[in-house]
Formats: sequence, structure tokens, C-alpha cells
Amino acid sequence: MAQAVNPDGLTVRRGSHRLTFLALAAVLVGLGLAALALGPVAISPDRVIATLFGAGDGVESAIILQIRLPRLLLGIAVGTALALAGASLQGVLRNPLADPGLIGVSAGATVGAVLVIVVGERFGAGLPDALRPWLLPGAAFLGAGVVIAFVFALARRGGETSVATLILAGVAVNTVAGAIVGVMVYISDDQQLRDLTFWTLGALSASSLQTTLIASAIALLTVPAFIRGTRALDLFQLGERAAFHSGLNVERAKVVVALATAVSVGAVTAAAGPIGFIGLVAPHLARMIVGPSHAFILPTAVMLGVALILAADLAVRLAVPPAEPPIGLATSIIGGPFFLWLLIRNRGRLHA
Amino acid sequence: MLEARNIGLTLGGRPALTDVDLSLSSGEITAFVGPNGAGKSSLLNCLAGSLRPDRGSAFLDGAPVLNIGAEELARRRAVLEQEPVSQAPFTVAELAELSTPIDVSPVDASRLRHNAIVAVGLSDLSDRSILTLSGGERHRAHMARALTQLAAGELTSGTPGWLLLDEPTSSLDPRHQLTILTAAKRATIAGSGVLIVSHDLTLAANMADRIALMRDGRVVAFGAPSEILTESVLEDVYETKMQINRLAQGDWAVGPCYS
Repeated sequence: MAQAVNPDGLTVRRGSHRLTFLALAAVLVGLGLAALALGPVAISPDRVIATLFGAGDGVESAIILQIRLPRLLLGIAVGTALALAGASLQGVLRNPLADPGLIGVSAGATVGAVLVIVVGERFGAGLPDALRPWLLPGAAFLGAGVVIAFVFALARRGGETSVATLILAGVAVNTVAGAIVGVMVYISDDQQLRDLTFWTLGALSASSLQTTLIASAIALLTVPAFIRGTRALDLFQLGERAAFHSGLNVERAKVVVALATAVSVGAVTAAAGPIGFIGLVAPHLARMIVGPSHAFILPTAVMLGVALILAADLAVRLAVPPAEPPIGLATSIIGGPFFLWLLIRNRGRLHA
Repeated sequence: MLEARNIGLTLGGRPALTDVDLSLSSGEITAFVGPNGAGKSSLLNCLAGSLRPDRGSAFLDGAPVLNIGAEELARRRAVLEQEPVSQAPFTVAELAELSTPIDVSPVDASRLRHNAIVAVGLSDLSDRSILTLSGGERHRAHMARALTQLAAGELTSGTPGWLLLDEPTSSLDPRHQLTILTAAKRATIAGSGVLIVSHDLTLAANMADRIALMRDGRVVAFGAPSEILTESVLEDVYETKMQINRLAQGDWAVGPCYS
């Protein structure tokens, strides 16, 4: 044989990703420290670390452990959930335009959560105390699940899934959801209205500590379901029929992604509201950096998603203190134009 | 043995397959030939388990293919789809290894991929993104994927498998048509069964051990090329004047009459 196949064709790529992971991890540590240190009351990094190890004074402990740490945890959960859901949806559908927000999953979760806030008290009162904190994430999951089942069923045509139909269905779902939220705002009292305001654009600081912890735990527990699907996502790139020929149980793989998406997006939406575009931007940037293999795309997208969320949260926290605009404002300012750019680049592929 | 038993299928209100009974043997190349819309690809997909017939069943070594799980099926047959789609920028090497079962060790997987890439003549391009390749090169990269999957399946199951190729040569130049067919022939020598769907009658006559001639969803003739290929049968199937020539060195030349 004159020319041998380069036996390291695969390992070269793997090696160069290690640097990317290290760099992103360093950025994340920096953003995490900043998220604990910065805000209306600035705390120096060495005091942050001291407080984390139990050596902070009363004020520092209160700010860091009760306000900023839960907020950081929720940010990590939101970035992780949206990045994994977005990357997996894009992988299954072979289309970079899929995003839990665009196809209406976040809106479904929002409707579920808003219904609980406004009219849920009447039904929630009968629930045992142990179950009541789960009502909000549960309703958000149901809303997200109903929407994802609906849009997937609607977009199914001849054994493949039409992304154009999926996104149009998402437009319809988003409109209907907006109307329902509007009605709820109209009939809600002052206290409920205050609870509802952040639902329009999301926030990492509006939920109770209990809701934040439950939602973060649920979202982080779905991570293995997504990570186990990396080979399936690679095979989906061949088309659904070829994926089956390659040994993939295609329908089951789709159900796993849909369910995991509904659970994780439902959970983080219940705690943080609908935060747009992270599920679109993070996986796409990840693909540009590490290439087409989902074993690398998923972890990279998670790190980018968390970094974007933390950066956006820092931006809204520091922009006009002491006021705090919703975090969705920041993600949409970056995400909206990015979506437009993707649309223009992929004009031909939307019809596929 | 790969069998179709009494298969019937309706696609979009049109009968695609009617009463198809067929047995393909391991160690042989079988070719499905026939006009557009004769049902060749539908029958291949029924045999591959990716299309559910309305009546009858496909059987692999006596078991209905639809009762075999996707993962197990993938060890026993590999498929080259007619129009492989992939917009993801995998390299040739990554693509070739994509359909390999996960329990194959990395060392084995990389050896089998290497062999397959050499067999389809893409050694020089193994680190190139498939999106930068020509249509024919990309098709050969997918052929390398099917060959790797076949070899990996045979390695893990310990028995020869099946290679199902839907128009494997239609986008290839003559030299690379021969490259692909040689790889298929080599697989049969190792004991695998090969199915080729093709419009190329000359190819089928020269390379296939058996030909199934199809028309309107039925198999109208099945046998060795020398048994079933006559000008009158072909003219009947294709509704066109046909010619069959045996050349001096023994090769067949089969096609329409041009003059």
C-alpha cells in the first residue's frame, strides 16, 4: 500500500479538544467567582472563597450563601438544560435552527407554571405539604411535554421530521401561550402579578430557594439521559433510515430526547422563566469549535451555555444598579440577531 | 439466507410490491434490476427491515427481520442507502466508523475502518471533511461505512453478514464502479451475501451470481444471468428494444439498442 490511512485521524481531533475544554473550564471558574463576588455589594474574591469555607462574616454569608450561590446554581442548571436540549434537538432534527424556545417547549412550560401561580392555589391547597413545592416544576414539565409531543407529531411526514413545520408549529404555540399568559396577567391580583412579571423574560433570582433547588436538581439529573445519546445523535446525521440501518432504535431515541427535553426545560423554566436563545447559540458555537461529533458537542455546548447564562446574568446585575433588567433581555439581544444570521445562512435547508 | 415471503406493499395508494417470494443465498451477489418504479429499492428496504410490508414478511436466517432489534440487525446486515444524506462535516475516517457497533474495541474498529477506506480507494482523503468531497467520493465514503459495519458485525457475531447496496455505482466513474464491485465480490468470497440494486444491466450480468428481474412490483424472472437474460424478456420488461452481446473475452454487454 503506497499511502496508509492516517491511524491518528480521529485521535488528533480528540487531543486538540482537550485545550478547548481546559480554556472553557477556566472561563467558567472565572465567571462563577464573578457571579459570587459582583453585584450591588461587591465582595473581594478572597473573601468569597473564605465565605465558601465558612469563614465569612454575617453579611457576606447571607449574600453569598443565600442569594448568590443559589442563583449561580440555577444559572448552571439553566445553561446546562438549555444547551443539552438545544444540541439534542438540533442533532435529532439535523437542523441548526431547532431550539426549545423556538419550537414552543419553553412557552408550554411557562403556561403550565403561570397556571399554577394564578389558579393553582385553589387546587394546590388540597395537596399534602410535601408535594406542593413540586407543583410548579410538575406543571411546567406537563406543559413542555404536551407541546413537544404536539409539535413532533405535527411535523412528522413520511418517516422524517419536517423542521419548517416544527418551527411554524412553534410560532403558533408561542402565540397561543402568550395569549394564555396575557389572560392570566389580566385576572391575577397584585401579588400574583409580581410573581408573573419575570415570566415574560426570565430571571435567575425570582424563585424561592426551594423551587430553585428542586428545579436545579431535576435539570441536572437529566444530564446522563442526554449524554448517553451522543452516538444516537451522530447516527441521526445520516438520516433516520440510515440511522436505523446502523443499529439505532430511532423512535425510542427520539422519545428519550423529547422526554429529557420536556423534563429539563420544564424544570428550569419553572424556576427561571423562559430564557431564550441559549439552546440555539451554545450548541451552534460548540459545533463550530469542536466539529460534528456529539461526544464533544454536548460537553462543549454545556460549558458555553453556562458561560453565556452567567455572563448575561452578570450583565443585567451590573448594568443599571440597583435595578435589574430581566436576563432574557440580555440573551435575546445576542440571540435574536444570531438566529437571523443562522436563518440567512441556512435559507436552503429549512425546506429539507 | 435472506428471504422475502409473499411480500405485498402499497405506497401512496400505488401497489409497490405484489406477492414477492425470493430467497437470496450467502456467498453470492444477487442483483435486482428493472425499470424505474419496479419496486427494487422497496424490496431492499423490506429485506433490510426499514420498511414494513403490508402483507408477508422478510426473513433473515429463518427469523422475521421485524422481530430482530435494530442493534442486532445492524450486526447482521449493513446497508448503503441510495442517497446517503449527511450535512455534518465528518471526516471520511469518522464517517466510516460511524455505524460500527459500540462493543467493537477501538483497535478493531480502527483496523476495520482502515481496511474499508483502502478498499474504496479513499486512503488519501481519509482526513478530509466529507462535505469537501465530490458526489462520487462521498458515496464511496458511505460505502466504506457500510463495509466497516459489515466487517464489525461479522467480527462480533462470528457469522458472515449481508451487504445491501442500493444503486452503489450510479454516481461513480468506471474505475471506481469496479473498485466498489470488487469490494462486494470479496465480501461474498468471505461468505457474506450481497444484494445490489442497479439500473446497469451490463454490471448485473457480469458481476451477479443471480439476477431478479422486477417489473410493476413483481419478480418476473430470477436466476443466473445466462438462464434468464434474453432480449425478448428484457424488451418485455423495459418496453424498449434491447441487445445482449457476449464479447470475445467472455464479458456481457447488455443495454438498449441505440440505432
